[in-house]
Amino acid sequence: MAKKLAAAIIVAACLSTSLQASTNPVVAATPPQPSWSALGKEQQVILAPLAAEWNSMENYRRKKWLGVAQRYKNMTPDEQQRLQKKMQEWARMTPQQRLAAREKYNKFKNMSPEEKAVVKQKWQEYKQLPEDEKQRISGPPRSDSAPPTPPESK
Amino acid sequence: MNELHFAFRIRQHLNQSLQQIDADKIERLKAARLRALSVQKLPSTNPVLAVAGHFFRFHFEGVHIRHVLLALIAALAIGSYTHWQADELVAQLSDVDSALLSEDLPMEALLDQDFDEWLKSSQRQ
Repeated sequence: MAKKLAAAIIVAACLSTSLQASTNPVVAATPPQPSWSALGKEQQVILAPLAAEWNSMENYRRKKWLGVAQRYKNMTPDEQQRLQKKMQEWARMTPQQRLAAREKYNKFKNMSPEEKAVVKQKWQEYKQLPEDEKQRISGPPRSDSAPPTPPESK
Repeated sequence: MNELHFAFRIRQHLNQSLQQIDADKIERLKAARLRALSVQKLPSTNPVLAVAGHFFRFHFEGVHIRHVLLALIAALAIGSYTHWQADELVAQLSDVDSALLSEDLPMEALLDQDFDEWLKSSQRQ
């Protein structure tokens, strides 16, 4: 009985160690994905803005982009153009920025078409505000940092 | 007859019988012994492997094939579930990111915290 208990403890220790080795199961469980040169011609054309950083990306991110490339075919030309324009900018954002953007987008996605139109219109109005008005909204400078801004897109 | 005396008598009988074994039988026994010695396991020259071997032999002696199979099935189930979960999460990310990036809303609008506050305050007014 004691031997079985010892064996169970050893197995449990091995399992917990392997689980702790990676805090994110997605990172650990995603199998190796193709390098840039191994991608199909069509995939390379769609994912062209990511060519420079593709080979240094984690496997789960490569897999995600391959999923995006698959969905690309069903988009309108306008959507395709917007996607490719924002792709590089998105890939260079920090994980925290991407997470924040996804959370906000999920709220936006659930709005009615009228509400979405209002948000888009308000964004245009907000952009036209004079700088001092924007500073009044943001209040005194925050101690943590300025609001995250994406890196410049090409 | 106590136990010790009984053992003594058995030893006597065995020794006497040993003297009566034929020479050819003695030769056959000797050959068999040499054969057995030639195939017996030699002590490991690698102390690490020897220690590991002793450890597993000592600790897992009572573990049956059924236990090993159960552990393998459990490991396979955990592995398959983790793999499936990772697939699902990556597919969800592909969905959200495809929609987000193809949306006619600038990225800055999603990242600008002040815009959020301004939007809320303008909706209240």
